[in-house]
Amino acid sequence: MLRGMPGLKGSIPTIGAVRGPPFILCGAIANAEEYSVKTVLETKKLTKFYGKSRGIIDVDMEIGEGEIFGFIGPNGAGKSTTIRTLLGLIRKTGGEARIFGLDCEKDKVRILAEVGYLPSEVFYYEGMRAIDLLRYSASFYRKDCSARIRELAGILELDLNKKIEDMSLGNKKKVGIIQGLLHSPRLIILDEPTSGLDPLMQRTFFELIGRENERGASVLFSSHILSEVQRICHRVAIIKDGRIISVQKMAELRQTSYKKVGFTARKPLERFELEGASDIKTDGPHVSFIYRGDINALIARLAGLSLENLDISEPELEEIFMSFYSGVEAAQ
Amino acid sequence: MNVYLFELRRAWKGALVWAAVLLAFLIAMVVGIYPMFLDSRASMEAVIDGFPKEFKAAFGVFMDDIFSFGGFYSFCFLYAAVMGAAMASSLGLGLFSREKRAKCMDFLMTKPASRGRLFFAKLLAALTLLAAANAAYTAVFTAMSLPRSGGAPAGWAVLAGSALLFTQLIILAASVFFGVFLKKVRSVAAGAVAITMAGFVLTALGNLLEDRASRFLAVYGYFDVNLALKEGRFDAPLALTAAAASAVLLAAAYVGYCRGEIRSV
Amino acid sequence: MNILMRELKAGLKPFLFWSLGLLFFIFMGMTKATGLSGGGGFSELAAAFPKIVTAMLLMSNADIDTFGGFYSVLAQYAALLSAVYAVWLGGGAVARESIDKTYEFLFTKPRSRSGILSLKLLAALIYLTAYAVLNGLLSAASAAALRLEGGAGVPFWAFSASAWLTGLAFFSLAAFFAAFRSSAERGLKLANAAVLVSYALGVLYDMLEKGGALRFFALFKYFLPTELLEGRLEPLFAALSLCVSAAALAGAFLSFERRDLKAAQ
Repeated sequence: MLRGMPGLKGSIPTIGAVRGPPFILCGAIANAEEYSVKTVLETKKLTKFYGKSRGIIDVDMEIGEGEIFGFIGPNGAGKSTTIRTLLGLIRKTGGEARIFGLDCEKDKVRILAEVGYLPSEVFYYEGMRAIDLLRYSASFYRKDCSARIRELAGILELDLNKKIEDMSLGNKKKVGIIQGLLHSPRLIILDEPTSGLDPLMQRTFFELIGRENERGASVLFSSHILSEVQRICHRVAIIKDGRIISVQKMAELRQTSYKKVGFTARKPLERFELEGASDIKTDGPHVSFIYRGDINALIARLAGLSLENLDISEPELEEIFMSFYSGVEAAQ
Repeated sequence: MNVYLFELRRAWKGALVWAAVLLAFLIAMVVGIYPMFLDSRASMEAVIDGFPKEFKAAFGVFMDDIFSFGGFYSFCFLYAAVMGAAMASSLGLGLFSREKRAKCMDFLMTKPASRGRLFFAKLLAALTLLAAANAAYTAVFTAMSLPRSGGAPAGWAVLAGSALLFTQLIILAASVFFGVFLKKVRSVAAGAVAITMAGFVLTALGNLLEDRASRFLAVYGYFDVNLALKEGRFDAPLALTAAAASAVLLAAAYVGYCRGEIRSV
Repeated sequence: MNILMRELKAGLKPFLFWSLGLLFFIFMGMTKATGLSGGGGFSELAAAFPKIVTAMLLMSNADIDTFGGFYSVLAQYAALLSAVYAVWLGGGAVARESIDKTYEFLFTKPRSRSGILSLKLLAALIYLTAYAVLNGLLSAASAAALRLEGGAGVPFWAFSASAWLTGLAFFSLAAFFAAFRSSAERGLKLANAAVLVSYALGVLYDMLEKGGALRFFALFKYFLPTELLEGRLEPLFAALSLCVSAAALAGAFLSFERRDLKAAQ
């Protein structure tokens, strides 16, 4: 999969054109230029069953050094199961999982020394101030993290002297973020990290992740919210019912193949058909669809119509995703 | 080391309270009650005087044993053991269910420390607190028993004093086992009381039944203070049973802790 | 109704667990009673025993040569068990959602807080009552099954009623402590400490020749074995224990209605 990585370079300027905090994108680009083909995380046919019930099946993934890798799918698709298996919290049923070239079960401790993890739900010990918890967390790593804790707390505007149990969900989440980043990990694993953060804080959070990425950290970012994956990820794996159904470069997913087309014909159309078009909606003279295929075929088809208005634009990732999902379902 | 210190910091207060209660109990029994106890010997002898001759001879030895310091303290020991068990089970259950109760297993288990190391750090913290409390208890016990137990060697007194520690170790092992394997620990206090009570009921039953086999039920009676003071030893089969049971429980807990699946909360 | 059913379902497994413990205890204890000779000087000797010792073994004033005397010792342990179970039931009913951090689910339903609490407590009370009934039935059944001499004459109902009343008092106190303290864990600790202190006071009451007013503070001594054997529940103390329960329950409802609901450890 990473063999296709150099192709990402070419598409980067186009990522730059899409929305999102410019700061992050600069970071992402800087890193993309430096991509080596080094693999940080790799799974082969990784499988986990909880007794008889399905967790994940044959998950293949590869994350390159410096890459921000999105991991997306609906609730219960197996995102957390994958992450928990990678972290050694649960035991795989089959397959292989390696981080930094080390086995996730045998070399767990060495791996964890350079991994930062932010769970989706943040619970901590009762009766502890944030600073106590963070110091305890830092004590597991062989470096002095106190300056980093202060710095992160400053960025996130968190009062470290408050007791964690008295904090709002958002502030607890901030404790979790600092806890996951304080040792400047090489790989950051985020499991639905933004819940509970307000939009402003989400932005700060993404900037922070961007900066970490700029520093050289790779990121595995699981989410069910496409727009946030769209915001920072280089590539994205789509998981459904425990299986990875596709791994796409963000740029390709958006740029190369998909167009959102809408037009108004002079006369109402009874029906509109075109190979490569999906999610077609016809409402009198108004037609809209998502198109994937040769752009000339599209133009040729449209040229045969008498149009009043035409709009060809970048689809939202959400829209691609829906058409993609429905396509997979149809194929099945 | 960090986990060890962390657990010590969070648990020392409770342990200190129990250690203080145990010491207060010990001193109250020996200083306050023991003289009263000795005074009642006369009235007992009066009753025995009314018994047939052969009984009297048998009771003579019996009386000397009961009214020795060791004989007296073995009555009290049941209560010391109950309090000690409450302390040990609070520690074991508290330390080993801490992350489960706070729903932060993820936090600890994604740190670069092997689960085995975490297990031993916690266990060592519990043992340290038990050892500290028992050092004080055994020292006071030895100091008070030496002038009262008629020339028994100091080593025997120390052994008798450490009966509490050994009893606590069984309960600690059991509570570590429960702390690791219970899916949910709602309250350490409730769980500790349940474990302590289970031990108490078993002991009461074992004492009531009196035959040799049921002595193995009497958890708090595995280590006989009187025997230690009289002969400088514990009952070997019972002591070995205690050691084996503790070892099995701890080994099972260790395996469970290292291999357990941490599901999301 | 749905709340009640849910609570009953949730409490079934622990109830079976406790019942099994009770069954084990009573039956094993009763088998021992088959060996009673109904004579011999043992009770005379026991009477001459220092008060402190008989009190600590819960054998004060018990004529353990007879089945009734023996059973009354056994019944006191059973009462202790039921008190611990009662604390677990009463405290748990109040604190369960806070501890599980699921209080938002239940307490945002269109029911008043007191309404929910009363159903939860009712479910717990049903189990406490079932436990007391089981206690009496098991005792009578094993006495009959083992054809124990004098078994027919013992008013088992009085013993189990007294265990129920004592249990009810601790049940209510535990509910109150759990509702009153903002930390559920501290509330449960307090309730369990109340059992231990009452127990200690009970032993103290037995130790002293004239306990007198101490009896009012020792919940376990509200109903004395000697009275129970005559099939008599001392009305003053029965009324008193009901008053304690009513006051504690009222306090529990008041505190619970006023408190801030939050996830607590």
